[in-house]
Amino acid sequence: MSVRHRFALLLAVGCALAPAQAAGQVKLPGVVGLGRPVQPYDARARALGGAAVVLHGGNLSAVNPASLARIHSSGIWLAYQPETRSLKGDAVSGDTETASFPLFRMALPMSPRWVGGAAFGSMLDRNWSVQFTDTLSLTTGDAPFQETRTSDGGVAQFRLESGISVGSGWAVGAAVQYFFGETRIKVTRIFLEDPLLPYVSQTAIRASGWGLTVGAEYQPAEDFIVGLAASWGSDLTFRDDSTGAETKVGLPLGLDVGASMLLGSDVLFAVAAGWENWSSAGADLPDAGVEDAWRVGGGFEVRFVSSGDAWGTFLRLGGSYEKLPFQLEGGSPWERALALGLGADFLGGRGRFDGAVEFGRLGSRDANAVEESFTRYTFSVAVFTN
Amino acid sequence: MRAGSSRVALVLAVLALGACDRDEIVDPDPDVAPGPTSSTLETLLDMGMLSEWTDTAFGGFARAGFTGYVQVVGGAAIGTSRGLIRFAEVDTGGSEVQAFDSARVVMSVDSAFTFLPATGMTILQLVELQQEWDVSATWEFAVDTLGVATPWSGGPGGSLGPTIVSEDTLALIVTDTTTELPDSLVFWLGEAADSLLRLWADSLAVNTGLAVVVADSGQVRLGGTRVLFNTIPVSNPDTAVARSASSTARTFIFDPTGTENIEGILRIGGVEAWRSYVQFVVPDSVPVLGSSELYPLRGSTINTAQLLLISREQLPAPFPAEEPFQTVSYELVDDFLVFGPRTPVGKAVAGSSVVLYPDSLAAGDTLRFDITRLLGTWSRASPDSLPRLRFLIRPSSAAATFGFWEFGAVDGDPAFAPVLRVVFTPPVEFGLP
Repeated sequence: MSVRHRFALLLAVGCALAPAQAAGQVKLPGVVGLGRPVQPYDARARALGGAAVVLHGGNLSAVNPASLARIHSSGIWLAYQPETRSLKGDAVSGDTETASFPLFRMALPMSPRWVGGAAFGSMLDRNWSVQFTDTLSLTTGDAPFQETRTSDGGVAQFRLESGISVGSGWAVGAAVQYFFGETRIKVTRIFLEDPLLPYVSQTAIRASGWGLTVGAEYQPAEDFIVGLAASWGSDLTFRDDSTGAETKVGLPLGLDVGASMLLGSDVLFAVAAGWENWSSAGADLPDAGVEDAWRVGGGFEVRFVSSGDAWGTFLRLGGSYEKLPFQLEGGSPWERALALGLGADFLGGRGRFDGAVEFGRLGSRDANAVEESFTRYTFSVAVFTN
Repeated sequence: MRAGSSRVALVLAVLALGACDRDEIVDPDPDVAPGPTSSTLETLLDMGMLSEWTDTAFGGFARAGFTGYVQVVGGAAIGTSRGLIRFAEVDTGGSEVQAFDSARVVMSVDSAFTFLPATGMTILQLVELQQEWDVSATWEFAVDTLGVATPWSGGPGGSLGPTIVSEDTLALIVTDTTTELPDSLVFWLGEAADSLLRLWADSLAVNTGLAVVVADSGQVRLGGTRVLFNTIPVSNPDTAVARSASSTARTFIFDPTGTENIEGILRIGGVEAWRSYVQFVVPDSVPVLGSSELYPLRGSTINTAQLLLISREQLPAPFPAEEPFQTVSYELVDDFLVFGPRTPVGKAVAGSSVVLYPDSLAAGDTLRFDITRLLGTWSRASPDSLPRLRFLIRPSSAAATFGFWEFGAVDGDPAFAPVLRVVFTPPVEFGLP
């Protein structure tokens, strides 16, 4: 990285005080629209290409609340997701690293058929930063400066959820979600040689809203589960702390379907597909350009070392294909990734550790003027009482 | 779950909410860099663009007696100044003195500020003064303190009495390789020694002291002054005892002819410690270079703000500042048009110190006084407060130089009028998604 651009800024050109993404600015993933959507998946679902709607052996991702009904003991689990990205574009390039906790969830069986739960999960990642050098022409001479624009924060969700087994292989669930978060946006301009005082301006933008997810699973046979989850949200309200300005963005209707099949005693195959009606928010985001989001993915899981039903170790292979909602140049970018994963039980089967690594690309240099290659690691650990 | 698990859950929840880490630096072309944009602008405000501007200069904050030197000048083209010296503590060792002899006044010479005419020599004289004076003396007044102003009885510059030492020549020492001045000047008092030293030793006698004058032409800066003498005790008239005494009062007075009028002029420095006082009202919005559009100055980040004073023509000798000196700005607490030189002075303006280099200041050249902090405070304040900016510029050390420097004022020649230069960055408008 570290290619420094120097550019002579004409003095007193129009004071382009612009909104977050002004015309003429390069469109980067995570910067456009509301940010970068992040799914509240655990490492197992990540390794299976995002198959997080139904899974044999416990679906820990916070997608389908009906999956809680198949968790028979109290437990908590957490996912940690570091990621390295390499961005290449016509006007920008650079390598970045980021890390987040996309999922923290707990389950508490209330009865043999009814399980309650709560979760914190990611929704929108609005972390990004750009830095460049430029030169200001003054009457006293040129004044080189370094400018940094940062956005820290995003939108997370807290959900209270419940899943109930209703018999005949059916389970249903519902989750009430509260979306919340704060994004701190800051512009810093430091003059490198001239004794000019630095410029710093910042604000905080808070987000809040409500959502509801309902889901169902049907297991007609021991080796097959199919399920779906539908979600709907109220308006997501963004409020600028410094000005009091407020705007509302309608949250999309979302639909996820998935299936999980046991292919023999040690092999599992899972698939999932999802759709979110983000284009309905287009009127609320006139500058961004919004399209519906799609995703499809699946993968295999092989148990290769085990001790009966007590514990096992797993190897996973998956792939995913996902269209993000917020447009870059030339339209919304597609993300494609191949995933590898390992998992292992511990504490005699009362604990589970999973890891996944995804190698993928986002966007296309030809279509979107920018392409991002990434390596996304996800680690999750779960502990149950028995 | 157990209570321990609940606590772990709470900690992890906090982590999940806030522990997103970011290290994302990409390096775009500045022209297309994403994010909220800001513009840094520059404006040059002449006085006509401000709704109010007042300036003036006040002097008299120091006197020559506060300096560590005595400047003696004579000659048609370089003005006049006289040294005033008094010895009032002559120690005779407690014994009755039969006679004083071999008395001489010795003065050290500061060669850096001593300029002899083309002949390479200057004649100085020690002359009796006719009137009592103190170190507050000026060309007009023998005593000029708060509430007491006693004019010289013989007119400006005082009346000179008989010459004590008719001449003593300060001349260049010329060797094969160098030409230099001697370190000191010695005035032998001769026959006047006994009467003068008896007078100086008598604490009850009227002691008007001595004047040092240039008899022909030249400028001499004198430092430490002592009188060396021998006493011959009554008890042992065959033995001469060598003694010395330092001067008890020492100053110089100079003819200010040609510098009295300060209309249309700002001054800084000099023996009188000239200060320039400025107050103005900055508009909330200003035009910037290259555009007639107004941009908000109040509320903006002030990257730099400078008062540009334009140098006037150099004054005739001996009044131009003879060496670089440091200046500093202070806030003024009240209106100097009301309180004049006694206007209460506030704190120093941070970062406002500037060195004035006389050798590099020609007429029309600019000296920049940094008032960034002052204007920054104004910019951050409520529009109802701080309507007027007031400050003064003064030498950081009073009377550090004999000469001073002149700049144009608002009521003088417009070509030399002050200008306010501001580089500022208006606040970013952070857009909502």
